[in-house]
Amino acid sequence: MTTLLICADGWEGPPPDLDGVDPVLVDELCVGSRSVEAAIPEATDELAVAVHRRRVNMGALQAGMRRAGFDPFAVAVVDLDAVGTPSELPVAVAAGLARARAFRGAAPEQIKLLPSDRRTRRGFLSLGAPTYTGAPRIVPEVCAADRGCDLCVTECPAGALSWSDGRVVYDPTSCVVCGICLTTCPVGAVDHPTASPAAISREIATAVTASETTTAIRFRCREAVVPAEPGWYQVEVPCTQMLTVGWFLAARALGAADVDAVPCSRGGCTLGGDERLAGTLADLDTVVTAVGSPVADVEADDGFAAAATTRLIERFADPAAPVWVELSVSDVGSVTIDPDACTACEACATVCPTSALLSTSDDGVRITFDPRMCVACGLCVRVCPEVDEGAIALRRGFDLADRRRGRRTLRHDPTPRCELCGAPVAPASMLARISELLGPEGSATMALVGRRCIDCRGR
Amino acid sequence: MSLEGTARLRQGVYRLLALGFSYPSPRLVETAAGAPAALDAYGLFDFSFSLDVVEASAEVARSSLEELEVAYIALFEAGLGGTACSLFESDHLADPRLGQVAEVRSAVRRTLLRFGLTLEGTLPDMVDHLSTELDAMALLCSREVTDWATSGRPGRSLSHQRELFEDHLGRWAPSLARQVRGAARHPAYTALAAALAAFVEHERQWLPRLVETAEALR
Repeated sequence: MTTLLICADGWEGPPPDLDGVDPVLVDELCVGSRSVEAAIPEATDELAVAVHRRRVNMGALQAGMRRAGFDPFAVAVVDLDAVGTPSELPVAVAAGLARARAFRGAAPEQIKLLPSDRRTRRGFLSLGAPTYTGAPRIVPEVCAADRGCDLCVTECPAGALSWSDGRVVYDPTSCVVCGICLTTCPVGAVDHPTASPAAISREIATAVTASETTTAIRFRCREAVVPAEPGWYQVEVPCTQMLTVGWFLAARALGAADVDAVPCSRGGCTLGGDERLAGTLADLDTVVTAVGSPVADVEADDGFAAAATTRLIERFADPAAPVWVELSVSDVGSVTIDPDACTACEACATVCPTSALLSTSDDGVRITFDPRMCVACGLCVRVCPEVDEGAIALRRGFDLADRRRGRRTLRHDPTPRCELCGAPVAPASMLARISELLGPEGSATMALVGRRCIDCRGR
Repeated sequence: MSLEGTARLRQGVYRLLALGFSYPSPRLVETAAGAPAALDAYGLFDFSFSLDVVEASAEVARSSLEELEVAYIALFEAGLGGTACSLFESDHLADPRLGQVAEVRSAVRRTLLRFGLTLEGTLPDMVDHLSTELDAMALLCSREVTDWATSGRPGRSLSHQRELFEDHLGRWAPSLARQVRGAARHPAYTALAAALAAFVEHERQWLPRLVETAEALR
């Protein structure tokens, strides 16, 4: 049985009639924890609570859930202040339950103690029940750090991630649980127990389909308290700076009539400004203006998963779209290589976390690029030893016609064969570059290096 | 939730886990049966680890002593070429080829001695055993309780807890818990390992906050 506990404070009339949910009005639900356990019918195996976010004591509420035997992360929490009218409550409950049902458990290190606001002497002597939130975890089996990827490290605003010896090290103490690592990771190696792509996707899909009227989606920072607005359903995310164009497009593709985001209401984002969100929203405008809205055929989870933006753009089908759509911050890009400067060292393809750049060997080194897989991370540019010579360039944006061409060769460099064993020696342009660097004094060395592979040079 | 009450709660959880990872005794089963109610008096359910502690207590309480003994021996004492899971810090943090085992053990012993804690004469080899470190933490929590009650301040007991936790227990208990969860065939030990992992991860975040509180009170 699914039970919905509703804070009776300010509630007028009888409990609402909800399909498949047993509603119970509870006095002082927002301020006490003991009341939770007492109010839950014995047959309850799934729990939802409807509280006033502005005044709820979340620590006490979570404690009450635990006392009643429920993991707070698996309980749907509906903000009554964000529900415009009682008639919208069923939609909010259904969507909240859909999100909670996507919770798959949290490892101990994924339970983050939120900072306490208490700073008075009296407050120190008696602590309130702590509040917890879900924290990210890097899944090493999926992480591309061993290939050199450190995008989450460079994007983390709290310095909670570091790269060491081919793996990403997470410091839970420094983590501010903003979720930026989740949407930055190009390979989906970040597991977030309470803001997973599956959870967000199911919440939005349910909110849109359960509503009898048109529903728009408003992503809201977990710290923000946003008044209800008819027709807008609020989706809580750890921080609005984590949002990508892909997440907005996915919400549209799931059927949202409109999308927007509201950052935290503490006089600006505590992570150092809302520029990132502003850039994302500007890019979203650019994309939608240029190519229209995505068709509503996104499968569950897909639009919110790693590298979602570039995949979603692929679903646009407007042949009249402009040739090149320039973006400022988004994870969509196109790479070009200047064959006159590139030495075909393959560093770019080795580090590319999504395999948008690939290197193959046939009669030489062949570097290919698929713009549909590029997330504009810029790692290829960072590792290129000839970047100052203009060997590689990344443009943030996309060209629909170009994307439809799919994978293409950006660079092909023949490789001389070893005169003794026939194995490849090195790309011709790399040999030329080494020769140029060594100058005339290195001509004897190059005569050998250019003819023999590394194994045969000592013979 | 008073700070003295929190110290009592932590003392209780450390003691329960210390018993849980010692050789099974009637006292373990008895303590586990009453633990949730006893710890609830000090705000157990305010904390994220509470469900794991309740689950572990229930699993232990519903097991017979014989079952627990068989499971304990299989996990921690028997095995060709070594035990499935070692309960000694030196087996997790020391490289025996580099002669670090004795080094790790003396580091634990020195730390305990500095805090005025010694092992009974018959148990010197247990100095880096999980139950010893958990019991030491429980004793330091008990000192904290006394400090709060007598002076309204936690004294040095909190910083001692933090030191023992960060230098020793917190460094290896999570990986041991993962090992036990992977190897345990009895639900009591799976649940005890989950409780250990949840509590230790919580302590990693909670102890610095308590120390910060104590410093602000000075």
